[in-house]
Amino acid sequence: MADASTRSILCRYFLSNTCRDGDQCRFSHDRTTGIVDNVCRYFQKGSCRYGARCRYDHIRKHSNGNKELISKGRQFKNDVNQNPHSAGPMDLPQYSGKFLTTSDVSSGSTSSVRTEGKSFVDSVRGAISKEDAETARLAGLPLCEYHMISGVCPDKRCRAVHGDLCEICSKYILHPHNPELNTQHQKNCRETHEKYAELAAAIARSAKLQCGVCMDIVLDKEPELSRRFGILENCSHVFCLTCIRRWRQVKNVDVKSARGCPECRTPSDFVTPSAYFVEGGDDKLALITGYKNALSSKDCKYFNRGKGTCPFANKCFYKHALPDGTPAPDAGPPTTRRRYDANGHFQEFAPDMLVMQMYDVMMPSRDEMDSDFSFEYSFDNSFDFDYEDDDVDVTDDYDDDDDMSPD
Amino acid sequence: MANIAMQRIRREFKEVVRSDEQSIKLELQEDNVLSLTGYITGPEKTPYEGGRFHVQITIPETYPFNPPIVKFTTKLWHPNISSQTGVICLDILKDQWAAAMTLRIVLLSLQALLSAAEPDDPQDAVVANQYKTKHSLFQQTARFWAQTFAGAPGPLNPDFQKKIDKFLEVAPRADRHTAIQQLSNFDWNIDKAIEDVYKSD
Repeated sequence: MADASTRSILCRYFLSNTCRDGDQCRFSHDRTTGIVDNVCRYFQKGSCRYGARCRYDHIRKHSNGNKELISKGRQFKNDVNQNPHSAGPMDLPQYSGKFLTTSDVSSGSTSSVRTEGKSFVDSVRGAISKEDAETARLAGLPLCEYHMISGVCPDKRCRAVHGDLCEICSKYILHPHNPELNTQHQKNCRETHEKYAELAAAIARSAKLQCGVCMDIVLDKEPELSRRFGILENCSHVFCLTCIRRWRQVKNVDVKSARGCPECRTPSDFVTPSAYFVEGGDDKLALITGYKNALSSKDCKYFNRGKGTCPFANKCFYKHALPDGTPAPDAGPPTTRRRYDANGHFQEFAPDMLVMQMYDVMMPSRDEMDSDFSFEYSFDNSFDFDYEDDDVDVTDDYDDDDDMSPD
Repeated sequence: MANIAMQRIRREFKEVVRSDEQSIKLELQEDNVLSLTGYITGPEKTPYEGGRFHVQITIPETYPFNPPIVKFTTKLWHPNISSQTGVICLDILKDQWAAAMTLRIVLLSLQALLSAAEPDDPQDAVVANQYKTKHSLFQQTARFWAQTFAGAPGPLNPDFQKKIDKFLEVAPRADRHTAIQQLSNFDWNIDKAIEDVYKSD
């Protein structure tokens, strides 16, 4: 009965544990050496009712002997490797078809069994002993998802591996046969945990901080949306975002005062929103850089994709891009002009100021858009980046455009 | 956002009440949180020593983003305070206001203003002129005002008393306040003071 041509091909029935032929089977029952045959026979005969969704490869044979792949089926899976339960996402990387793919998971490790492109089986066939193969087989088995989450598996016949408890994430996710995977998981888990711990510590540190303007404890404010800090660039005084922004827009106070810290008067060019307070140092730098990056991905509404002019020119934090996505040519630094008014007083004014004022008159409904626009120009020579009616937040969702609605 | 203003004032009020500082005091006016009376005592080694000066504080709706409106209700002889209306010229109550400042700071600043006048940035030009040109007369006048209007202790200047009485004899329609104001404005030169009264009549 044995047929040499089929002896090396892995038995499909054996893989799903349904082969009735046992030792008499014409196909290989050896998972370590058998070659996976993943060609759809129905397609070969001319019609496969599953079409592109077929789990097998649709390969057309040409008369000249060449083969052309029409559609790639699902990877022919060693059924034991498939999760016996639902195919929901797992925390562990999914095993892909090939008998052993620990190499995918532990990439970067120094494992000698690591392979590129080829299946593990091909690369090490004959080179490892039976025990190694068994260890490798066990290591490749997937974890039971039910057990992973709760520690209990309702399926008595479950063929997946029941993992050990990871104490950091409280999941039964440690593979009993695959230490490499465990090390990887624990490393990731620890990193995530540390990140959360840092964030929690930062929020805890900010818990009692009082805004210097409204004197409320920032993280106790109502509504919840207002529980944010406004971090000034050049000093470390605590303010809530709403207050510091409002202060910077105050009109009948000296512009230098308004642009300065309400406590120490140190001038800062812009305010960075944050869910927790950062004192200074690298954290602050990272926060500000993150904020600027977030802004630079948003279109500038003054530049308006080339249709308008932005008075901040190349100093604008927002994106200046043309409709096709190409960055706009460098507009140079922002310009102000100087002149003496009728009384001989020295004045600063922006070239577009008159235009802007006309715009205000013509389109009063958009006054909130220009709220700090004419203001900044009617005063000082220092260029300011308080573009504050529009708000992008790096720590929160981008959900707070109403933030500065007039009171 | 009167809300912020109200909350802030309540907190600041408590802050001043709790603090041990004897020299400043704050009182609410008629249950209206946005209208207060402040008291400061005159700083030592100044003509105002021992006097108790009242200020009226009106909190704008936009407080603390705009400064409180403060003026003296006690009459005061000082270059930076109007001797007629009590209006104060102090930068932090104008364009140098900062949102983190409190009423306590304002009252302490007013006290500081009493001990260190700025005659070059005057509110009352007459007083400022006297301050610069006849400093000892300024000090006597300021002392006399503090004793008369702010209850500062010590005997009143008899020379000034006499001049006031004489002024009131000549101009019987004027009251004592007017007499003091008028005489102070003219460096206690009674002839000029009376002349001015008749001129304006």
